[in-house]
Amino acid sequence: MSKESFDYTEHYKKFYEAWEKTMSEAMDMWRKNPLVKNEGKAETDDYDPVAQYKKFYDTWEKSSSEVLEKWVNSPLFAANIGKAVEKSSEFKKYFDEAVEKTLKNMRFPTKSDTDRLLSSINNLEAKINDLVDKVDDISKPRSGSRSRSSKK
Amino acid sequence: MSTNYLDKAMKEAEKARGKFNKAIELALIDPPDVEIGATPHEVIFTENKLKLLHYHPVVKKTYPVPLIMIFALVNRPYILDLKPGRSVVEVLLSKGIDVYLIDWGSPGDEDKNLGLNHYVNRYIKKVINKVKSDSGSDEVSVLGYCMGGTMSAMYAALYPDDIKNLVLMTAGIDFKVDGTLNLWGDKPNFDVDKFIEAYGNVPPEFLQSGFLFMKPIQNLVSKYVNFYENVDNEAFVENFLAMEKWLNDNIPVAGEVFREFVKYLYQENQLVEGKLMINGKRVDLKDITCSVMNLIAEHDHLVPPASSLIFEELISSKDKKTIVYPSGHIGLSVSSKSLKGLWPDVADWLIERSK
Repeated sequence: MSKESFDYTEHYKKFYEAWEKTMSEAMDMWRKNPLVKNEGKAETDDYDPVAQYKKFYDTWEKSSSEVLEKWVNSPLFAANIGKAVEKSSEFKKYFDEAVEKTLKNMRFPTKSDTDRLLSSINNLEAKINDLVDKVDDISKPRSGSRSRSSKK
Repeated sequence: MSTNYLDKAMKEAEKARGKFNKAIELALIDPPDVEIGATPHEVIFTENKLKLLHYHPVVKKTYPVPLIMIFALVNRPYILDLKPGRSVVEVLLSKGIDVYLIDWGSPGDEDKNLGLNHYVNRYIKKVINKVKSDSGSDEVSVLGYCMGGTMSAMYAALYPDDIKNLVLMTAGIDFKVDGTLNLWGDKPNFDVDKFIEAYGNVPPEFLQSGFLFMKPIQNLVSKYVNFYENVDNEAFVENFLAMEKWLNDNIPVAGEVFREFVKYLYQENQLVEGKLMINGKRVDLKDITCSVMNLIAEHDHLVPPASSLIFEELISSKDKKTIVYPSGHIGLSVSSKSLKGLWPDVADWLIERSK
C-alpha cells in the first residue's frame, strides 16, 4: 500500500465515528441504569446489567479493532516502526562492538569466538553425517531399495 | 432506590469475582501442565539443532509413499500435533499415512549465517534422503506450512524429481499483494541488513510483538475476555492453554535466512518473478511438475490468500488442486472444523497418490 493510496482523512473520520459510537453506547447504558433513571420507581426486573455491559463491550471491541487494524496497516505506522527498529539496531550494534572491543583488549574470549567455535562443531557434525551416509550406502545390498513388509 | 437492581448487580459482581480469580489462577498463577506434541514418535536423524521425527504408525499397514512435514522457521512445529484430538498428525496417521516431521530446533547465535541455501540444499535435501532410506520408498510427499511451504516450493522447483506430491499450507508465494507483513517488511520501511547486522538472529520477542500488533485488540484484549467468559468450560480451557503454550513458545530465526526472506521475497518478490537464485541456481517454479495441493486459509492475516493463490498459475503440474478453507492461519491446523472437514480430504488426496 503506497503512502498516496492511504486516505488519512478517511481514517481519522472512521476513528472519530468509532469513538462516537462507543461513547453513545456507554451513555445509553448509563441512561438505562435504574440508579440513574428513576430511583425507587424503576422497573428493574427486565434490566440486565451484564447483558448491557456486554453490548457496550462488543461495540467497543468491534470499532476499536477496525480502527487500530487500519492504523497498523497504514504506511505512516509502518514507516515509524521501521525507523524505531533501525535506530535500536544502530544502538545495539554500537554497544555490542564496544563490549566486544573491550573484552578483546582484556584478552577475554568473546561471544564471536564461541560462535565461531560452535559453528565449527556444527560443520564437523555435518561432515560426520555425510560420512555415515556414505558408509551406509557402501554397506547397503546392491539390489535396489529395501521395502518394508508393513506397507500397503 | 431499587433493591432488586442492587441485589442483582451485587450477585453478578460476586460471580464475576469468582470467575476472574479462577481465570487468573489458570492463566497466570498456576497454569496446569498441558501435554503437547504427544503423538508417539522417535527421532531418526539429528544435525545441528534439527531433529527429524518419525511418528509411530497406528494402522497395521501404511501407504508406501511417506509424508514429510516442513514447518515454518518461526515458532515450534508441534502446532501440527498440538494435543490428542487437535492434531493433523493424528488424522494423517489414522488414515494410514507414514508421517515424518522436521523440528528445526531453536537456532543459536552461531547459526546466524545459515541461509536459504543451507535450509533448502542441505537440511531439506538431507531429510528427504533420510526419509527415503528409512522408509524404503524412492518417493516422498512433502507438506510445507507457511515459510516451510515457501521453502518446500523452492525445493520442489530445484529438485523436481525428488517429490511425488506437494501440499502447501498457507505458503507465501507472491509478496506484492496487500498484507500487513508485506507492508511492514517492504523496502522503505524495514532496513533488514542493518537489523540482522545488529541482532545476528531475529529475537523471538521481535516476531512475537509483531504478530501481536497485527491484531492488537484481538490478541491483547478479546482473547482474554473470551477466556474469562469460558473459564468454566473445561474443554475450552484445555485448548486455550495448549494454544497459549504454543503461541508463547517462540524461537529466534537464523539471521541470514530471515534477511533473504525479507529482501528477496518480501521486498523484491524474486520467487514470482523467477529471479531467485539459491547457490547459483535459479529457482523456477515452472519446473514443478509433481501433484500439488495448495491449502489456503480464507481469513489468513499473516499470509494473505492472494499471496498463495497465484501458485497454481506459476507451476507446470497437471495434477493440481487449490482449496480455500474458511479459517485463519493457525486455525487451518488446529480448529476442530478443519480437522474434521479438511484434513481427512487432504489425507484421501495423498492416499490416492501414495499407492
